Order: sequence, then C-alpha cells, then structure tokens
Amino acid sequence: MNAQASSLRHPAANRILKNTVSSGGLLYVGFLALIVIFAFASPVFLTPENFANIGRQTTLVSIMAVGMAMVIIAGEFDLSVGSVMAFAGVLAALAMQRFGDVWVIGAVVAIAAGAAVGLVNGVLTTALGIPSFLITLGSLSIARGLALLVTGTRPINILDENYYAIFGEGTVFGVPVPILWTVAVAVAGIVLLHYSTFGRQIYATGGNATAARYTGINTKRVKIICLVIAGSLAGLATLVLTARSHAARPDAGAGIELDVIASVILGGAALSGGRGTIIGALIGSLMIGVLNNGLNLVGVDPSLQLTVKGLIIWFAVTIGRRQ
Amino acid sequence: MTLAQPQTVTEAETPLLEFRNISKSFGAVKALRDVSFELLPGEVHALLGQNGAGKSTLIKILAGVQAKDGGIIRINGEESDFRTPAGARGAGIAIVYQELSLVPDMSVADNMFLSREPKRFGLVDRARILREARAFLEGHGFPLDPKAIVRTLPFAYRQLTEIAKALLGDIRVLVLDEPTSALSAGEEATLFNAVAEVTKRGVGVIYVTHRLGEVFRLAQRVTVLRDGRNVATFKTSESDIPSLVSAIVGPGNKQGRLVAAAGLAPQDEQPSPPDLGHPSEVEAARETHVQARIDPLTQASGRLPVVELREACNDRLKGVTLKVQAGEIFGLGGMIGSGRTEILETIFGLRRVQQGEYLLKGKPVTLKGPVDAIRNGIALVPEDRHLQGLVLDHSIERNLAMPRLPGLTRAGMFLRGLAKSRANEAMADLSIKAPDTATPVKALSGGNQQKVVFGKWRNPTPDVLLLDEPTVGVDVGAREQIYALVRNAAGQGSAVLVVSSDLGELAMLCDRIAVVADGTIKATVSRADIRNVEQLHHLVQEMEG
Repeated sequence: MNAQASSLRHPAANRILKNTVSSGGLLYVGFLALIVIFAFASPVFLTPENFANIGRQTTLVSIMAVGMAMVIIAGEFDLSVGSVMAFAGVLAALAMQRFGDVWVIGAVVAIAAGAAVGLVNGVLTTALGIPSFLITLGSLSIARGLALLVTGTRPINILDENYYAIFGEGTVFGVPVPILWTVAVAVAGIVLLHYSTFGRQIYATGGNATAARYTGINTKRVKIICLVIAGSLAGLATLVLTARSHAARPDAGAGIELDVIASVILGGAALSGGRGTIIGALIGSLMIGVLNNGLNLVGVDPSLQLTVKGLIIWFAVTIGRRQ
Repeated sequence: MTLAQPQTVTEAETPLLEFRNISKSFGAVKALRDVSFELLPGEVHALLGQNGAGKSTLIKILAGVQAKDGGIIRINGEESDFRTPAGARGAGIAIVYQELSLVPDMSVADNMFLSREPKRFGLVDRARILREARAFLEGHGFPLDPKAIVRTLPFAYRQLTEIAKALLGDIRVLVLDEPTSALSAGEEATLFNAVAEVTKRGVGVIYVTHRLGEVFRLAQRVTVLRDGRNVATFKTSESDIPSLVSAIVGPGNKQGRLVAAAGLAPQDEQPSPPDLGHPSEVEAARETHVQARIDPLTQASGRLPVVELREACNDRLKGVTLKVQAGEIFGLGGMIGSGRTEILETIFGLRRVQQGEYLLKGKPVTLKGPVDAIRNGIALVPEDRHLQGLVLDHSIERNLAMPRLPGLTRAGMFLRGLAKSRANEAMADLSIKAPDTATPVKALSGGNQQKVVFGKWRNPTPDVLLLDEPTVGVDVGAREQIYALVRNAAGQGSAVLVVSSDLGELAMLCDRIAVVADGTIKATVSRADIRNVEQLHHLVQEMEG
C-alpha cells in the first residue's frame, strides 16, 4: 500500500524510472562504463568540444531511431531509412535548384519524399500482407537506385545560407541546431508514444496484432502511420546532413539503417514488437555514437573499429536480454 | 524396449511413479507442501484442484522443467532425479501441455516424428515417417490425416496431433493437461479411446482436468490438491461429484453445488433445467426480466431483435437464420468445425455475409471488420485468449484500456489517471486476483486472464456480446464468476451469444440453444424444452449424423 501511495504521488517520475529500468537498466550501466573507459583512454574524450562532436555525429541516427522505435514497437521493420535519406536529400536539392534556393522548398520536399516512401512501405506491407522487412528491403534498393538515377550519381549543391543555418550550422544560445532538432524530435516522439492514445495503439499492435484487431484497433492504419513517421524523420535527418555538407549526395546514409536499428534494440525494444521506449532508443544511439567516437580517439584501426563495435553490440544485447 | 513387455505380477504392485513428500517454493510462496501421489501401471489417475492449487507445479517437476525443493520421486520403485525435459522423456514420461508444442508449418506426421526421424543413408526417410504415422493414427483411431499441415487444422485436431506425438514414443507415464477443454463430444470419445488403448499396454496416465464428469468416465482414482497440499485421494467407484467438489473448493465455500451442476458430464444424472437454475440475485432478476417478454417459441414479443441473421451465407455458413434479443442469452452448440465459431465471426465482421441479410437493431448492415463491429456496439470474447484476446506481455491496465481508447483520450493524449481508475474498478468488480493493475497479464492464471478479457468490455455494456468458449481452461471457482458476469451483461440489456462445447454449460446458462451442424442451424430449443443435458447431447449427435 505504501508503494502504491508513493507511486500515486509521483506517477510520472515513477513511470519513467520504471520504464527506464525495464527497458535495460544494465545497459545504461554499460553505457556509463564505456564513457569511463574512454575518458581514461583518451584525454580529449571528456572535453565539451568532443561531446558536442558526439552529439552532432549522433544526430542523424538519433532522429531516425525515434521513428524506428515506433516502427519496431508496432512489430514492423524499416530497412529503407538510409536510402530514403539519399533519395529525399537529392530530391530536395534538385527542387531548390529548379524552383529557387529557398530553405522551405527543400524542407517540404525532403520530408514529403520521406513520408511518401514510408506510405508506400506501409501500404504495401499491410495490403499485401508481406512482412515490412521484405518490402523495405525492396525500397532500400529502389530509393537508392532512384537517387543515383536522378543525379547521374553526382552530388547536387545547395546554395541557401539560411538552409545551412536552420538545419546544420546555426546555434541557439550556443547549442548547435542539429542537437535542438534531435531534442525536438525526441520530445515529440515521447509524447506520441508514451502519452498519446495512438501510442497505446502502437504498443497493442506490436504486442499482439490479432488481439488488437479483435479489440477494435485498426492495426493496418497504425503500421502505415509508423512507417510514414519513420520515412519523414529520415527526410528530416537528410536536411541536417545536407545542411552541413552544403550538398546532397546520392550515396548518403548507406548502411546507417543498421546503426538505427541497433540503437533501438540496444535501447531495450523487442524485435518482435510491443516493447521499447524512445529514451532507450536515444541512449542506444548515443552509445553507438560514443563507440564510434571513442574508438577513433583511442586510435583503434578503422577496420578493427567495426569488429570491436560489433563485439560490443553482441555483449550489450546479451546483458540486456539476461535480466 | 522393456516397455513392450507386458508387466509381471510384481511390477503391477510397484507403482510406476511415486511422489513422496514433494515440496516446492517460489520465493515466499509455497507452491507444494509435502505432496504425495502414486500412479499404478495401466491406471488413469485424475489430478484435480483449482488454478493455483499446485497441479501445474507438480506436472512441471515431473516434466523436469522445474526442480523440486524436497521429497523423493520413484519410477518403478527406483529413486530418480531428472532435472531436464530430456531426462524426463528418457524416464518414459510424456507430457501433453495445454499450450501446444507443434511446428505449425509441418505436417501431422512430421510433427509426430520431430527430432526422432527415422533415417535412411543418413537422410530423413520421409516415406517411412508417413507410413508409420498413418499406421499409428489408424491403430489408435485418431481421425487425423498424417499429411495435413498442422497450421490448417482446427484447434481440436492440433490437440489430437499433440497427443499422438506424445503417445508415439516408448512411454510409461502419459500426462494429459486439460486435454478436452477444446474438444467436442465426438473428439472427446476419440481421445478417451486412445487413452484406454495405451493403458491396456501398462502405461499410467495422469489426467489433469477441470471437468468432473470426465473423471468418473475415465479415471480409477482421483487426487485432489488444494493450496499446494494433498486434500484426498479417492477411488472413483467410491466417490461422487459433490464430494469431489467440496474437496476441491474447500470447506465453507457455497459454490459447491453450482459447480457440481456445471461440471456434470452428459451421462451423469442431470436434474431438470429449472433445478439447474441459479439462485443468485442477478440470475433471478434476469430470469423474470427475460421471461416476461420473450416467448421462446414464437418470439412474439413485438420487440426488435438486436442481432438478426436471415439465411446468411459465406464460405463457411450455409444459410444461418437467427434472432437474439436484448437481455437474452443464446447458445450455439455443435461439434468443432460445425460453423459455431464462424457464426460469431460473421456477426463480428471478420467474415462477410455474401448472401442473405445481417441486421442490427432492425437495420441491415455490412460490417467491414472488427473496428466497424465494435463501433456498432458488438464485442467478442474470442476462443483463444492468448492469441486473440490479450497482449500477454502488457499490464492488466493496458489490456483493459485497449478497446476503450477513444473514450480515454482528450486532445489526442491518453488519460492515464482515468484508465488506471477504471482498471482498478474492473479488478474489484471482476475480482481479478493480481497485486495491481501494472501486473503483466501473462503472470495471471487462466481464469483471471479470462476475467481481464471480459473486463475489456465491461463498461459500457456492449449491445451484443459474443462469447466463444468462455470457460476453457478456467478453474471451477472462476468459472462460476464468469457465468455471473455473463448473466450480469444480459441483465443490463446485452444480447449474448455463447459458443460452448460444454453442453451442460449451455443448458445452465442459455435461454435458447441452437444446434449447429454443417454451417447452418439445425434446431433451436428453448430452456424450458430441454429436459436434461443428455437429451441435448443426443440432439447434437443426431444433427451431426
């Protein structure tokens, strides 16, 4: 009764604590351990500059991990987000070339293109009853192919200074905008997944789609919306990327989907759906960012870095599942 | 190979299996305290008790899934201590679980021989698997096609496959955990024959069930557990249902008589229907309420039926006509595969009406799916609560909120406080036994899980409540509570349709009962016309034939 009383007094705090612990408390310990190890191994690691660095490098993965978390919790997969980044990016850059170098055009086109691919993924998955793993395996190839096709494999330059500032290079009160975008996406994701009714439908759909359907939840609609969100966020991620490089490359984001999925799973989501959190996915992405950054600073050979990263993912997933 | 030999006289006196003072605790909870139990060769020994009495724990220890804390297990008089399922299997113990352990995409024959496939030149001898499986199934009278893919079989046949798989090995002890909960009368007979067949070979059978009638048909002895202790072991020839019931529910529990009525098997003497009636106030109130306006023969009450099908046809239904009114409980009896479940699925919008008419409150409707059905005030408590009714990993609160999300939303945000207080109300109302609303549903017993499924549709009361096998895998105590919930829903004006393989349950619960066979309703009888359950059984058999 006492425990209940206290949980009534601070329901939100309690819940967040509970969710955090249940989605992989040990994992966070591992995350902190990584930071401590790198702090000892490299004098540069703990500096504020380096943390800003990690934040910037992680942005793309973090933003997309929010969408991916919803997709995976709904019991689906999206392998296409890396290709969608390239596809949406080059479309945005081409649109700005043709219709004028105004950041709004780029933003609308990139996000709309991402959403469109997500919509196609969702509709095909639910209408044909084919697992999204396979559908998005197809779109991974198609979106990349289209990006290469429309650009003739060349990067497209972006000239709008405002575009650079708003999505990539600006700061607000000293905080780089990519980090602000990440925070904004994270907050929106947390509200949607953990506080909205739609979030409940996402969990129910991934937890037991049949039971959800028998209970009046339109599970197809839920899945389509989740895939659209994942696609749109890939579009937003491409804005951040292209604003930093001042160009959209058709080969951008290749393989990044694996980091995104790894982040979500490291953050405690169940591959089979129904379980996971946004905070978990974000910590997962930071963990991958810290790994990439730390291994670099410590001077591990790049080919060895990949191997070590994989080993650490194995280890982390194993202890995450053990509890 | 020693198994194949008929047992000698001395062996017959040594128990096949003996538990001596077994105890087991989970943390502070004592699941078993000094439980003793023995099984003779060729004996069917029933194991009874409410959920939580310790039956499952005992079975799990026997299966090698859990280790005992204390006590001795002897097999053929020799102390043995296996700690793995493989060890149990090696000791000749085969267990048929309630949860099926079949590979859905494999055939019946392949499942039976899984991990013990006969080999030829190092490769699986498929022809031999098929041949031996067929011979076995025919020899034991199992109505199964060895080539059938398990996924495509109805639940009852999957269960028979599971039993065939267990029987196939060299086994001495067969444990059946509620094998008949989803079987219809004909399939039940098949199962009982198979059990008789193996006991003739000296195999001992431990039979876990909630249906007391079966105990007298099948078992020689029965042991009752309550709160983790032995209550008593009876010879069935020297016992009767009332004494078993009082042993199961314990002293001072008034539910005894009612439970006995619900659990009666068909050939047991059955009091006439008015005696089956229920003394509870809800029931009494509903009784007068319904009878005041429903003339069961003509339904000439002048009121519109809530649900009406007129010659409804689709892939599984061949012209179903029925009318159910507000406050009425309408039963659908018949064999598995007769179309009972499909009638509910059609009403719930899972199947389209291709020909004929479907009317809700007098208006023709075409439902696009469950979402549409629920919007029209229809609720379904499905047959398989694990697969279709619940998200097992999620909390009670989450499961209860699922169908009511639109009502628990303000400006798109989920109203957690309201959901929680509703869940607390539901837990109290339905007496769901759990520490709190955050408990994951998978941690609950079958009866409590089913109460959660009912709780999903508690408030507001649906106009049409569809129940498919509402008490499968539910213990006697909780069963009675579920009947009360059904009556309560009807009392509040729901039109209730119940599918059940337990004809005693239908006779006790329903105002009218339709006998379904071949995708259509062959006969409808009113409560007043049913003299006893036996008669209902004959009717079902007749229609099927």
